[in-house]
Amino acid sequence: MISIQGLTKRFGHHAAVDDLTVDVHPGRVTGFLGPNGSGKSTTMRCALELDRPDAGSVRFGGRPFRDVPYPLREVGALLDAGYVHPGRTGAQHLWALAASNGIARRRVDEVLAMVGLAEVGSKRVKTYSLGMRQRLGLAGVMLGDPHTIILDEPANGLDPEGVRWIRQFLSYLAQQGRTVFVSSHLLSEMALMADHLVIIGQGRLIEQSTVASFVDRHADRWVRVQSPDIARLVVLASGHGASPESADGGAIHFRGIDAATVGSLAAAHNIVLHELSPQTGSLEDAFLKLTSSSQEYRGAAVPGSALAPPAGPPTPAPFQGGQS
Amino acid sequence: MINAIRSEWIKLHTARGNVVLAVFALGIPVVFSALFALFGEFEFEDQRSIFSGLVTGPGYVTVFLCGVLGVLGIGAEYRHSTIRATFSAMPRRSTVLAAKVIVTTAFGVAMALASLTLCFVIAKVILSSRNVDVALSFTDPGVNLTAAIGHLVLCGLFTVLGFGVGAILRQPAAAIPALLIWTLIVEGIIGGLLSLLSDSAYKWMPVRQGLTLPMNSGSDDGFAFSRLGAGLYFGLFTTLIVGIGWWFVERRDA
Repeated sequence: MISIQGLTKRFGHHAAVDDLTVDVHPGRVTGFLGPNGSGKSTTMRCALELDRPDAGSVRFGGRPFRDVPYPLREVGALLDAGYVHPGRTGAQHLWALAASNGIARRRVDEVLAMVGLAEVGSKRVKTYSLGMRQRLGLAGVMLGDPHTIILDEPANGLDPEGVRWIRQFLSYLAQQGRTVFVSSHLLSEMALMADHLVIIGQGRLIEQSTVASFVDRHADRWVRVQSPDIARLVVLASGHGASPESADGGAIHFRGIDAATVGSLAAAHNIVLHELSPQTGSLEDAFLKLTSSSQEYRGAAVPGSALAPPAGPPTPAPFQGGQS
Repeated sequence: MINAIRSEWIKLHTARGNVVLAVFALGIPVVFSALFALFGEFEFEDQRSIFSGLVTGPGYVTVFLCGVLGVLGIGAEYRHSTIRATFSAMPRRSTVLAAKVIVTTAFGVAMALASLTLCFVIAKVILSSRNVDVALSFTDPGVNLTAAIGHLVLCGLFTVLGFGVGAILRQPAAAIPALLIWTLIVEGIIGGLLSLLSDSAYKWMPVRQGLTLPMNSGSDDGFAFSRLGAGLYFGLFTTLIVGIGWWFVERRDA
């Protein structure tokens, strides 16, 4: 288990991490989310004692990282795939890591095979693609078969097959009872991969919960309806507090009303329905909604779009009535 | 510590830059030594000056390359950000630093010993083929052996000095020029200015004192310490620099 207690790290007057307290439990994948500059990477660097915190502590199984006798055998970490000397071969990089923790050299061959780099282990790292470097980093993580795994953006540079592989791999590791702590900007992947979420903004904890509970509480809900008599249904549903919005394919999205009520109204007034489906926003929608006030760096609005990325999900146009 | 040393040794010999450095450290002095032995005039020279000219003299190239080796021992890790992977695998930074100092210094001294031996053998062969009637020996009268040992000590200390400068500045592109400029220019300027106040000012320039270690004329003439004194003084300076670097590495974010 990783226990982060009151962690604070300042760069000058700016608090990158501000009194953060989080427990990361074994047996599940814990996703670490936050906008750019929210302090995720700094937290991970402080955990590994690469950055010196101004206050607080991080413990692995009750011990500070420096007191772990063979760190690679207990904590495998990949913070950046670029932390490799480009002139060394992949195998040489891993040999040096393995030797530092008394790990046998044959283990290097095993982990290279595990990540699919067995055939290029003798090539210099400067010839590797970003995805290959990411796999090499993952091989380093698994060198000591650690119980705790910390990964910062592990899917960076991986192709779709690689992204799926890492998702399945991390889930497998968590099922084995290991502690998996992973940050990612790929929220769709995080939704598939993580069991639990820790969300921070401007260095402070915003929320921690299960993925399902988080989406349940923060994502938008609406009812998608298609009907040849949609205009009449809109009038009826509006009378029950629903806000209709036009959607693709002639459908209407009703907010502020549940699917059962819409179905009952339609049945009571003999309105034929072609579609009646409750909808829930994605993890991305929920994340953006929750962290919109914590965004430090925000892009300009895309011309011709209501979307000012990445503050929130696109808002559908209100229903003008009539067409179905 | 043994694991850390093994890891550092793998890093040292698998970095192409270090291999190239070793080739230069061996090759350049040998070439100079061979050229001097082939074309030098030795009729009026004594054994000490021939040894100095053909063996320890060309070895000063190795001394400076040992400094570069020391800088790269820590600076290359920061340049490529591999220091973060290193400290993630070995979070006790003092263990890593101690292993690095041991491995790079041992490698530097080994390079110096190999270079010295090659220079000696080649010079001896060439001189005997030219029928130069001067013996070249480590043992007679013993001064040459002391000078050779001084050369090895200087190479070891210069490696450590380079390591200290590398640990302070963290980037080889800054640390290597800083080391060379201090040695070749800055100490001369400071010594020159201070000599306006005292004739013996140069005596207190630490790197200059270190560079006298391989000289086989060494005695306290008012401008230099004895060989032992010079070694201790330069060693103290080197310890100070590497101590500052060590402190920085321990305190700063990796």
